[in-house]
Parts: sequence; structure tokens; C-alpha cells
Amino acid sequence: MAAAERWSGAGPAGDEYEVTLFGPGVGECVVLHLGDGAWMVVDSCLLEGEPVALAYLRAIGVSAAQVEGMVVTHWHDDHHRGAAALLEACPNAKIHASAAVRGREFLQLVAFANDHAPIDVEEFHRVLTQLHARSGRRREGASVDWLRAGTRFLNRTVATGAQVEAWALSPSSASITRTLHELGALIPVVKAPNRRLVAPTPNECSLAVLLKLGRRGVLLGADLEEHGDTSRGWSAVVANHENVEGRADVYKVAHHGSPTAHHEALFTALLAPRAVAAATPFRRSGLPSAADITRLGSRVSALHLTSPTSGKRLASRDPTVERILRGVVRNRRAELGEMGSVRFRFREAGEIAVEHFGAAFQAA
Amino acid sequence: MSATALARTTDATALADQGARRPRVWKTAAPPRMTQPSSHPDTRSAGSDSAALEVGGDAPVETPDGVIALRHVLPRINAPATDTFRLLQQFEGTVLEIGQGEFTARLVDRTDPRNPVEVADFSLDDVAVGDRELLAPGAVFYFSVGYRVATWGQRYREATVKFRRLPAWSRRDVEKARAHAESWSWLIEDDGSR
Repeated sequence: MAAAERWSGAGPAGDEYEVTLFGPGVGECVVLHLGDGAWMVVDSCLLEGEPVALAYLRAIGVSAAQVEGMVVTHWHDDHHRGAAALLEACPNAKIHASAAVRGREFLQLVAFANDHAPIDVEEFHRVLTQLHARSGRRREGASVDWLRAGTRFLNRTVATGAQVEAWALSPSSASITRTLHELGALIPVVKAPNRRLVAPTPNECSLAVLLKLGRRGVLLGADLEEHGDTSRGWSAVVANHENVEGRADVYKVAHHGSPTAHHEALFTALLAPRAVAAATPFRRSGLPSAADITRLGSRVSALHLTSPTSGKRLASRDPTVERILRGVVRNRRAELGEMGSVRFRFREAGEIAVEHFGAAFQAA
Repeated sequence: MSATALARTTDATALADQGARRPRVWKTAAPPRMTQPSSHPDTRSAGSDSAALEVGGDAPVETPDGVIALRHVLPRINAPATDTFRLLQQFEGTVLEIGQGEFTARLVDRTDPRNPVEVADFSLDDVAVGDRELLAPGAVFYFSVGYRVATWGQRYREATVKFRRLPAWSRRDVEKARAHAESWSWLIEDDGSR
């Protein structure tokens, strides 16, 4: 299907905000219109080999040059596929990343990624290589904006007079320390086995963001989890939320609706009473489950999913192969489903318009 | 790593050269659900390599010295019965997580790369004892499905899991990565807009 056929309509008006969430089953990306033709992309996933954000912006007639910021929330592979290609296509985009990976430990880990060592940071290798190449041409704007909890990284007044701000809600100091310690332990040493590296807790460094769009708010939960510790995760965000005024009308559900990302006060302290929510599934782990959908659905006015958690048909193979596979492996499922997207458009006042594309649907 | 290079590093001869433990080979009248192969799981002959004398059960076959001597003299006449493996389907797997008695893996279809990536659960019992030390999140393995055809034509359905063994990181690899990381260090020293 051509990209233009997947999404209908033109881009938003200058005074109209937009939050569009994309998810193919494993992976997510959020595209945001911040007013006056300025765009931001949070995380990246692929559609037929291309960053979905690029395909979408092209389909609605927006130039990639209008993307002013790219946020990479953490280094889990379902959040950064295609980030380097996106960065290359968006010459004016400044990259924002979690301060929890601002360390020589992370650079060393990324430096091990090459064709002979397919560890889980290849995309970051490409991103850093590209930033390094940019620096040769134009040092200014080529560096990374490393964000930690409480940092405001966008502040401007749009034509309507509204104030548009972006705040990092995480990582906390404790999470930064823990992440750097964990990364240090992952760096290969001489004689260590050569295998794909998998971080035990990649979500610890997740960068959750609150966008204040005039009187509206958008909470992007990334994969931030809850640890029952006021110095980390959602407890830390909730404990410090007074520092960032405003409640969100739109919530990008944290960590695919997992119970590990649940904090009751998030719904009362950070979200507006009639907030709407959208989540991307993570099919490898079956998230969100039916129980997760019920739990989340009871706390927001509506919950939308970009695609179903399961259900796509597997490839058709030789009957003998299928018989053997059935006898040997269990619970086979396709990693990716059909790409779907949920689009919210709204102004300073009035209703929030919700549209579904592809496999997206309202789950609760 | 290219597929060719992967094949070379998992070849039984290469394993022997690296001093790796020789994998076990099973051959039973009623085929086991899973077997651990002695060589790369593409089409191969179980009797064509030096592991052939071990065929016949978990324990190596006790072979009288005289027979070995005869085989040196008349290798064709005394050649052991040979099986061939006909590969029907192969996946490259990456271990995602290890649970109670099973592990979850991401499977990329190597036979037809156009097919969608799958995720599936395997029993830990299906991992060869010699490969257990390699089983960890991130470990790469080859999952092959096909027929084993015995000398007299019997066909056994067979699936094998074989973990990839790469040379461990060398001092040169580590130093190269450190130097590469150093060239990026301005990215963490430069505070951007702040």
C-alpha cells in the first residue's frame, strides 16, 4: 500500500496541534505538530524499510526539513529502528537523548557494534557516526542534547500567543547512576564471549516527556517503569511533578501498557480527568494483555491501540516443515503485525479529534 | 557477519580446529524429537567426518584396533553406514529471554528471508549439553528442519538447534573499540544548548 493511501487528509492547520502514534506490533514512533509548522519526532520504527515518520510526513505534505527535534527515549531496539535514516533526512533536527547514556561506558559499548558483532546498539552506532559526520560540516547543532528529569528543552511562543514547552520527566539521578553502572558491566572485555548484548533493564534510562501546548498537555511515557522507589521510575516523576505544572489531555501509555509501568498517581496527578490514551503493542511479550487493557481503560476516557497484540498469520510453509515445527516449538507468533496509527488533533479549546489508520482501533 | 562466514565458523572442522568440544550425534530407530548435529546443518553426511565412529548412541562405539587398521587400508569397503540430511527449512535465532524450562527466541527465516520474523518458545532440553554454556540472552543459533535419510532409505523427520560460536573478543578488538569511542567523546563533553 502506498504511504499516501494509508493516511488521509492534509497536514494540520498552523494553530492545530497533532500527536500521531505509530506501531507495527514491535516498535513505536510518535510524530508531533507543535504549531506553526514545527514538528518533533519521538523514537522511530520502520514501515517497509523506511522510518514511518518520514513516510507519514511525506503523505500529508510536510517537509522533513520542518522537523526541529528528534527524541530517542532509550536504546531498546523497538524504539530506535531507523533513527539514523530519520536524522539524515531531517537536516534541521536536533537530537535529544537520555542523559543516562551520556557516558564513556555507552560510547564504548556502541563502538563494539559492527558487522562482525551484531550487538543491540547498531542503530546508535549509525546515529553517532552520522552526528560525527555532521560535526565535520557544522559543529553547531550536531551535538546531542542530553536530558534528565526536570529539564525544559523547548520553550517558544506560537502565533496564537500560546506557550509551547517540552519537559523531560526522567531519568532521575538515581536512574542515571544505575544505567551507567549497568552499561559499564556490559562492555566486552578481552576473552569475553562475542554475543549480542542485551541489557537487563534498558528501560531504567527511559526519557518520559511532558509537552505543554498552550493549555493542552501531552504525556509521552516512553518505556519508563515503576520500581516502588521514590528516587526512580514513575514514583520519582510523581514525587517531583509539582516542578512541571500542567496535566496531560493525551497520554502515550508507558511501556506498552505493562503492569510494570503502572503507578496509580500517574492517572490522578499527571493526567487531566478526561484524558485519552494510546498504546503500541509489544507482541514479543504479549503486551498489553486483556487485563492491562481493562486496567488502563478504567482510568482514561478512551484507550486506543495502534494494532492488535496478536493474530497475524504466519508464513505458509511446506506441510512437513509445519508438522516438525509444531512438534518442536511452542507459541509461534509473527513478531510484527500490520502497521497502525492513532492520530489526535486538537486546538487550544474544543474536542480532541481521534482518527485510526491501518490496524489501529479503540480497545477500551 | 555474513552467512558464509557464519557457516564457516560453525563447521565441525572449524570447531575441532578451535578445540571446541565435539558435539554428540544420536541415531536411533525411533528418531528423537530434536538432535544436536555434528556439523553445519546444511546438507551433510553424518558418516563423512571423523565423528562417524561415535554414531550409535550416547556413548562412543567401542571399535577394536584391528577394525580401525582395516579402515585405513580399505576405507571404502569398511566405511560405516552413512546418513544424509536434507535441509527443508532453516532459521537464524536470537535468544530473547530464558524462563522456567524454556527460552524465547526471535527467528529470522534464512530459507526465505521475505517471510516475517517469528517469535517462538523452545524447551531448554533441546539444547545440547555442549551448547548450554552459550545459552544466554543475545546468543545466536541455527534452527534447522529437514529429513535424515538413512543408508537403507529410511527417512526421519529431524530438527536441530546449534548455537553459534564466535572467537571471543580479542585485545585488538577491545582496543579498537576504545579508540573508536574516544573519537566520539566530544558528543558527551559538548553540552549542546545547555
